Amino acid sequence: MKSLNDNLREEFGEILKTPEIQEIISSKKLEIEIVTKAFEKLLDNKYGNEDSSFVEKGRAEFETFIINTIKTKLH
Amino acid sequence: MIIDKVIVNNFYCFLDENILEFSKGLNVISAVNSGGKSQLFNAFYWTFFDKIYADVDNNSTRKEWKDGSRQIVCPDLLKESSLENDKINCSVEIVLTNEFHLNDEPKNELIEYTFTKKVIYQKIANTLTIFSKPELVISYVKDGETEFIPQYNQSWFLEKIFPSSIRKFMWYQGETMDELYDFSKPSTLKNAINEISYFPIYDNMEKIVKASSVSIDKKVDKELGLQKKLTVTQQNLINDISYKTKNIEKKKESIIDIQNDIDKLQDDIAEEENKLKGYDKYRDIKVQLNALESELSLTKSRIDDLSTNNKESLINKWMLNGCESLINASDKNLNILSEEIKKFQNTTNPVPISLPGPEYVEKMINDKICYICERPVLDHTPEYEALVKRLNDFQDNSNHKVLQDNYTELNKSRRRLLSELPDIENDIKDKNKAINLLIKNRNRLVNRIASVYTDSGHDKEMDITVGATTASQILSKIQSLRLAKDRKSDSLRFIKSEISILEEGLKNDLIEKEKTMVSFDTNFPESIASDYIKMFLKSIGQLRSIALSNLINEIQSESNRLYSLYLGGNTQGEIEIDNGIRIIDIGTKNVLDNLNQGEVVAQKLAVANAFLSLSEKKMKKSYPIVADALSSDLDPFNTISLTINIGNSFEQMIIMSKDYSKLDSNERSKLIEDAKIVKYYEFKNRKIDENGVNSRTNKKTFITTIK
Repeated sequence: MKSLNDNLREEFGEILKTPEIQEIISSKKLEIEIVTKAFEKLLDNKYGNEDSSFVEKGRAEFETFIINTIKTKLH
Repeated sequence: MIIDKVIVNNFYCFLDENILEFSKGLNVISAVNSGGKSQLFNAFYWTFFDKIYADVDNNSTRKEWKDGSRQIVCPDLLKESSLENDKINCSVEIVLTNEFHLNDEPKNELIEYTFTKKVIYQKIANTLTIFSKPELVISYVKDGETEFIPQYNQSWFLEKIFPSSIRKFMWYQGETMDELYDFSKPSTLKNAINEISYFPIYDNMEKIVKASSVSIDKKVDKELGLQKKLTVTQQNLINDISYKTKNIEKKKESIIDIQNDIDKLQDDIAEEENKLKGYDKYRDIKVQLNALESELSLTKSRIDDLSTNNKESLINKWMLNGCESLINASDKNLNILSEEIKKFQNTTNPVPISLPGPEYVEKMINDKICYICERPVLDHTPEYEALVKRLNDFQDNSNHKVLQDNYTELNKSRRRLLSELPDIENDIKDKNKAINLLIKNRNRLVNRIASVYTDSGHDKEMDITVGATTASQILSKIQSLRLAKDRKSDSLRFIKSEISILEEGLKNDLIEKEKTMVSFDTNFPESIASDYIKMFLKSIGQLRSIALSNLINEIQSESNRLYSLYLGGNTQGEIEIDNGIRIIDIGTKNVLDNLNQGEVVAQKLAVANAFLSLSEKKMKKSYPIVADALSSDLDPFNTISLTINIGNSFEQMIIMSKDYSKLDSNERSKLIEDAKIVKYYEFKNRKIDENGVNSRTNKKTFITTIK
């Protein structure tokens, strides 16, 4: 049985296959592994709350993950 | 979610304890009218939502949802048979299995929840009063401990397990089918879609990615600044880009707020228009009544004026009519008078004017002396006789004068009356004719006013006046809401045009930035991360819009699949979901109107069920469907089709209907097999004492388990 996150991953995967996004991925040489792992950070913070504090927490986790992964790769 | 068990104890037609067990799949309750279906439905609704679908009042057969805590749910038999001060317990217990409510998403951690609602009545002065008010207790067992949902959390808990945006899809009655959904309100569709899909999740993801985009841009600019390679113009360009980006972002956020406000206003307008549907007729009726009543009042006053006027003429006429024969008969008497006068005038002994008057003659007779010659006048002498004769002559003369005057006066009156009589008669005739016409008009107006009341279904002016006043208030509210909406729409257009100017400027700045800063080293982590985040910004935005159109397509396709199944393939058209829900012709794509009630019911059920079915598929949240008399507007063939096909779409469904009671035992067995019915109950409301009176105080619902 597919979970809710499986459904969300599947729909995101479909979007990544569209020509417009494919064009961005190839022109900017984006790595799919980083993209899929960064999406997991969004999934971790998918449930909002009334005071919007989740946005800052989610942003920090999502952005830090991408920057740190790139830093590791660059070194 | 599965409803496992319902224990109904002393609730309306359910006397003592009645246990109904349900399972996953299709559960059927068959009962003819008054069998107890609706009261079982009420048992659910009373327990969960504190509402009872009951008569509006004692004088009406119309029903409405009423506050459950104020209703006396006790069976009539107990009301009657209990003694003074007796206490009667009434309760409903519902056991259901659901995902543990504190899990954010389904983990298949199933918990058995027990909902118990109990009320105690006491008989005082032959009337039942609430001794202990209805109270709901929700409990569950987790890790070997019995836990309770605190009272203050019960509403939140019930909202979580039965979200109000799709609640009507799970609990419906044939009688309230028209209220099942109204997607003419933008937020109704939006809320229902949010409940069964990822849209709130996509919103949250988009917020995170947008915040990241703003944050990473700052970091990139800071890094470029640290490289000290920026000229003043380049720094200004970057500042400009940052300012425009922020401004666009802010304005886009305000667009969302304004759009939400517009949606809310549109909802409010739709709600008011919906309210007006019940009242707008009163306004028209009141206008019609006012016009008719003012015409009636004018007509009545004209009738009164003419009648008063006519009365005077009538008095004259009556007097004249009374005298007419006398007037005509007076000819004879007048002739006699005339003859008499003529005869008198012809007498040879008129009274000489030079002689003494009658008083003097009378004195002479009385004194027995003639004052002219001063000689005595003895009785019965020729002198005496001469004086008496003279006195008589005076008398005759005076009578004659009166007669003459009377004759002249009578003759004059007679001539006047005879000349006036025809005019008065004509006048009366004309006035009577006018009065008759006015009376006819008055009667017509009275009838029209009566028929306006009859057509309106009200016999009291106050009802219509109150209705018309309410309609006017609603209309004025709608007008002010529309004004507010127009103002918001204007400001939305203005902001959009500002954004488009800013975006054009930003686009040019970005092109300029690409050109002038091409030699910069952007191979640092923040700049690369910015590329990733920009890609996310684009893809999450697209995901949201594509997912919405995909979901609408899925709802439409699922609705059409169910719609066709419920009608055994004999549909007149297909369901289209596009800014509202309608049935269109498959060939011409034109909207089909004037559909029969069965088609409409099947359409509404199909759409509602499509939402629940997709909720199960998308969000892994399943809801039971409890439906009372949902098939009463369908043909018997379609009821069977619906029964056979509907169960497959859902984890659990409880259908209550009178249609199955028409089946013989073989047909029923076949239906149980074909429709894969897991539980089948038969309700019969019968006399408790067969020889007793045919009264609700001697009746209860008997439950037979068929399967």
